[in-house]
Amino acid sequence: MTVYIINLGSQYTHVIWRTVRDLGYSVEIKPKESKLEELKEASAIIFSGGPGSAYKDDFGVCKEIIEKIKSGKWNIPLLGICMGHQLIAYLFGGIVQKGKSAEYGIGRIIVDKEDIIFKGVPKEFNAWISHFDEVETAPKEFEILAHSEVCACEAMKHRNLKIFSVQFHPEVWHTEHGETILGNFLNLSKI
Amino acid sequence: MPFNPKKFIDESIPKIKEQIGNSRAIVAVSGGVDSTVAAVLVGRAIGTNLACVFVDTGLMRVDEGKTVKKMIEGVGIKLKVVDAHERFFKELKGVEEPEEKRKIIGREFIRVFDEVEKEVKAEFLVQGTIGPDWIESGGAGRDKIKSHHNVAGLPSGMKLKLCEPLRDLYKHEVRMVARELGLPKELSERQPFPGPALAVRVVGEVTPEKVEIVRKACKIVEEELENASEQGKIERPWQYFAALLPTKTVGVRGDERAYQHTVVVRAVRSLDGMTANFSHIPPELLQKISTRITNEVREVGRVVYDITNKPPGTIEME
Repeated sequence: MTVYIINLGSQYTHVIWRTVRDLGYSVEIKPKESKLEELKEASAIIFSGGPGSAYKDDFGVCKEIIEKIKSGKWNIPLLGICMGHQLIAYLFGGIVQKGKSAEYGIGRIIVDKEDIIFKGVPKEFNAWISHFDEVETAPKEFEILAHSEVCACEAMKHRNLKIFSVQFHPEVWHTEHGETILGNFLNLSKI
Repeated sequence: MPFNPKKFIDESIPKIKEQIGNSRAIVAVSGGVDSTVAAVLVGRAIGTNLACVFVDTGLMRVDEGKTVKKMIEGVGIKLKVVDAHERFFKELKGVEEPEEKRKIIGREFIRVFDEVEKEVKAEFLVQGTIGPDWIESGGAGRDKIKSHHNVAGLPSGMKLKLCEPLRDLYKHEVRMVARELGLPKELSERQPFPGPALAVRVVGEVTPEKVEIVRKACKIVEEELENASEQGKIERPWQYFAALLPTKTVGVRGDERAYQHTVVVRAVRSLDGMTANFSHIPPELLQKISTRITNEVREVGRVVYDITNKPPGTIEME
């Protein structure tokens, strides 16, 4: 079983790979053009960030992955990071658009709702963030877990499925407790 | 499992042997930790079939050539130094655009290697390319942030085949490998230095005069920050330097009007170079650096400190 990272072109895709490897998981980066068939051994899937736009560009296999998890035929955890987060929101019918302000570098994350992915993480922490687009309205099936001064939806989760997404970058060294958050998510692949 | 440098070395050497076989290779060392570790690994794999070259581009820091020769020969690798001052400045004349500068430097490096290659009959070029180099150079849907000359600066007609044993590593992991290989501390802990050297610390056109200004200013920044960290006053930043901005501003020196260059001082904290925050240097130390630069480098009239994190800034200016 392998954790697959779907590469949407982030500068940090390889850093996600490194962090997941360091947490002791078998992990592989896959291009977005991959076929669903190639991912059948997945224990968990992560959508990376990227320079594109969730509501304009084509993200290959991502839509099929979500369809299959939605159908209940595939009980694996899915995490979206940065644009991957926006993509999940968009594909579930949420609204993604330019924020009032951009958010680059350091930001303060405030956890609104305790959740399994924030286990062992304080209520407030500093994270590294890099985006202009944001999730303006989260999809109906999702609840918002955290916000920042600039952005109302820094983290969200699906109410029934193991789908999570974060606007900030848990994989980079500057994000406090980032490894804990990724570790919490990957733990779900063992259940 | 956290990164295991011993396992990495044990796995890399047979892989390099298999890739290069009985062919000859040249390695381009810059004196930085990446290229030196690559050279030592390949040296262990193929022995005397490796030739080691340092290209003095004229864009190096104070005494760089001598320091590099001492460090490299100190770890038992014979080094050939090629003086290429004039050709680099000639090619860079009149060029302002940062990507163009990086490409020219990459191309000139390869021209020099091609000439050396004829002497040593090498088939492979060994480079100390690490993760952030190819990541920032674009590809696979990634935006190009900057062309690292060892990746995107390579001309398409290059004859040499590439051997890049550190491609999946980051700086902190390379340092672990360097320590495991028993390299001296001055090498394993050396601060990162960009491949295009001081050319990317002169914003805009590169001239020998501007490089000289930035060379002196870099030396002052290095001395002051290294002293302060040795005395335990600050945590040594991950990377620290001065760069010359293409802006002159007005000053007053000894009651006379002056119209002089602006230097930016940058110092950042990072683990892997992928994200960084500006170092919180105490004001007294910043004052000392600023006073020394304006006293000792007479072309400089103003010094500013860069308070941008990465993102949105990059560590170097170009």
